[in-house]
Amino acid sequence: MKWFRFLVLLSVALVVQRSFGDRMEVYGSRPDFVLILALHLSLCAGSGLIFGAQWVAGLARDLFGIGVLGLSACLFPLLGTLASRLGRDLYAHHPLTRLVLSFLVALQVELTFSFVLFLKAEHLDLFSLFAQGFGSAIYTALVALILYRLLDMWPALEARTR
Amino acid sequence: MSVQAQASQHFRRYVLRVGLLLVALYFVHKGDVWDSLRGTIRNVIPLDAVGSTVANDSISSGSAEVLELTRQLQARDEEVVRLHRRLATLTHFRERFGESYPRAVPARVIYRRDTHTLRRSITVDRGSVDGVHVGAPVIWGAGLVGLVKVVSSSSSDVLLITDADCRVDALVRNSGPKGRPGSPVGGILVGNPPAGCRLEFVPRTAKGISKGAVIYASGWRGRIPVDLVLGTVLSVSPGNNPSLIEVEVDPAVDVDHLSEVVILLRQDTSQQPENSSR
Repeated sequence: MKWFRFLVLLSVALVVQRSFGDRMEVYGSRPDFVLILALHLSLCAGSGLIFGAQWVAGLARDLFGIGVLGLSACLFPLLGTLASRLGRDLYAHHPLTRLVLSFLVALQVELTFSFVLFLKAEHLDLFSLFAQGFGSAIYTALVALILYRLLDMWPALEARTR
Repeated sequence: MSVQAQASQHFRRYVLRVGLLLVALYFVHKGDVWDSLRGTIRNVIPLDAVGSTVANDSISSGSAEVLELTRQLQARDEEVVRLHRRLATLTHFRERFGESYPRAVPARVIYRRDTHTLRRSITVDRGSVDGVHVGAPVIWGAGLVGLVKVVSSSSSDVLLITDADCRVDALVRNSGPKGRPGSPVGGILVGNPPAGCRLEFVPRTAKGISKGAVIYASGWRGRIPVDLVLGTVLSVSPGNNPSLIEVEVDPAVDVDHLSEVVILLRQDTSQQPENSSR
């Protein structure tokens, strides 16, 4: 059931990313909905689901996006597990904890992607890539705060309908 | 559960996690090989079609069954169009541009993000080692995507035709009296971000420019193949200039949602040393 719910949410996140990601772009920064879903798993779901599900989320992001195939599949489980452990120690349900952890994880993902891209396409300016990555990390963290509230509501709805 | 069983379970879990990470690292290492897998999965799961349907909100009413069938039909249609364009691009380009552009380099889009609202560009994974040079036309299907702007050894920046700085010599062929071909009307196709173009310098006296008319590359100075489709006319309005009309153009290629393109090269330059980089 957990996996079914996760796969449905992942499909929705991919469609939303594909449909509205470009439209929500502000000065080259855009929110990453798949990362937000993966982070929600880290901060809210049981630890049994985190690693494998985040690997699947990362791979799906790689398959349906552009960039280096496998990089998200590598980063998401590692950073997700780290965020989960930090969240456990820092009261993961507090909005400030979620905001800070989301920003740090998103920043790490963006910086890694920027650096790999810089190595692959050396004519791109590393500083501007990092600046865009920083902007995207802030944007993702802010959108994440809103979406976490929505995602938190789903298990409650599920319990009510049983 | 005994301590030994717990330890065994932990061990299995760690082995599984390390295995997943190794698979991901293998993908990173052998990315080019797995790109075909990526293409296959995108074909099997038409997420792009679903995405565009959601974004365009084209299905607004109807029963669930009709909705689902319409969605499937749209997804298939888009897939057919995409496959047709790929076929036209990768297989028949020689027939159309073979003489003037003997070489075509398929490239994958690796980056697409612009910091300014007037800028529209993509980065592709082919560079001077593949023979790419500044100014080379980039196509997808029968339409122009843009022109190569910056080249480094393993990647290039492509200025999309929707960028405000992109200028392409264009013409519209109209039919004269009794169905005979009339004189073509020339103009300059200019990017009109975020997703459109304008045809500029079209005289008010020009005939045959109406909604739906196809705009082709004129091929002037040999920069871009003659008769490459640039787009279709969306609307024609009088504009502010008393001697010119304003023509809004819908680009032939949806340049904002490309994952692969083809770069046309005039001659086989793959063996030449790097000759153009920033």
